Amino acid sequence: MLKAPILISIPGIPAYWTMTIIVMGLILSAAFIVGRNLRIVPTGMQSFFELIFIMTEYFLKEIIGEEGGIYLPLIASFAVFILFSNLLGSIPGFTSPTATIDTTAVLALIVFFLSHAVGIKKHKAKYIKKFLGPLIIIAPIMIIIEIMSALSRPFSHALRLFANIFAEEFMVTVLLFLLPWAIPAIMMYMQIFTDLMQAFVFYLLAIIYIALSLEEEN
Amino acid sequence: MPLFIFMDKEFIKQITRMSSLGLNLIISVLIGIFIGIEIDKYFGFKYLFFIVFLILGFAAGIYEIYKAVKRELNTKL
Amino acid sequence: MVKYLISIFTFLSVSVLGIKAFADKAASSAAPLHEHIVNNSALLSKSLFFGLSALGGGLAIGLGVIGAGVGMGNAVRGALESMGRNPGMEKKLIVWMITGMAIMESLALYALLITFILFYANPFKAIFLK
Repeated sequence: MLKAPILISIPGIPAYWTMTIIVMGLILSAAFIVGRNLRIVPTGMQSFFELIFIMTEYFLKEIIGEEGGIYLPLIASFAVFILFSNLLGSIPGFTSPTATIDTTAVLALIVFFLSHAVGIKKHKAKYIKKFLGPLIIIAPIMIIIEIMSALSRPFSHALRLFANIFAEEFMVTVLLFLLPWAIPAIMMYMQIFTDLMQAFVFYLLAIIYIALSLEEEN
Repeated sequence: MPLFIFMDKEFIKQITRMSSLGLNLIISVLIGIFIGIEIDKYFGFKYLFFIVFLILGFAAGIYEIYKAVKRELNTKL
Repeated sequence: MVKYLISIFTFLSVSVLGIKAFADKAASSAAPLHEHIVNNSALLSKSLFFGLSALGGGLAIGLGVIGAGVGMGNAVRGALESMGRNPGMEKKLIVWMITGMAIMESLALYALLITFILFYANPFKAIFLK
């Protein structure tokens, strides 16, 4: 497998762990610097963080309902983390942590367990009615089908983000080996659109999966 | 409110959900194949549960589409 | 012009000579072809197996994506035409278009799956790689 050169790596651990640590450091330092001097009229970095905050609040209130406010810290930190780690891949010498299945699978599993735990907490024993299907006669088959379609959600959730980010990184790497002038740089800046789009889709699907297990069965 | 105010919540929800259906369809088939092969290994059958769970996996993918489409028919945009 | 022709001919002659020298060396060192095949039937079957696997994988994704691409194009065209006629239905049409496109995309993903199986998890590998 072709691999693009990586500048910074701590020996003994995989490269994407180093990148995750870098992303965490970037987010923490950015949050610290922004938090030091907050202004009433936001500028620069503060307006970016406020945009994510307000957007997340809006979507949570609209899609989940009034009780959605408590998921704001989790979902907003998903947005910031995925966005930063997607965009890190655009810098030469770094790779995205989300270009490995491990990172995205962990994020998707968090959403999976959280959504079902929240559903059980809200509906108690009635939560199993979501898995029984429309008719009581075909319930034994429907429960298998429902469980399988519930299991397919975290896979597709994780695989979509991973595949997109990995594919664009791999494309840049292949171009780098075929033709190392100018063209890979153009492709790297084309990545930014995909990065934003995939971060948004992942974040919205997380909200939607929580909302689907919270809503009443009609 | 931010620039996303012009987006209908039901519209954006449905679009995101619909766009992940294609991947869901194939992954539920794969999960079905995996479960079928494991059960076959456990009970010593050759192909029985493999085929049963292959069909169930396909049904699960179709059922996911059915649910999304039913929801779309019931909502007004 | 003449300069280019000279360089092209030089390149061609050098490559022809090189290939000829290489072929002579190979012919002198190796046994006749049919004996080579008989001695190395395992090698032949392996190389045939890998070559045909790669060919099959490439054909699978290529031919599979043709159908999905044509279908998606048709779907988008139909949706855009009806949106032009009736702009009030825009959102509903976009959602239905995305639904249809997701199902077509799953067909292309099946082709991709076949390619990945042929490349990375070939079920017949155990027969040929003992």
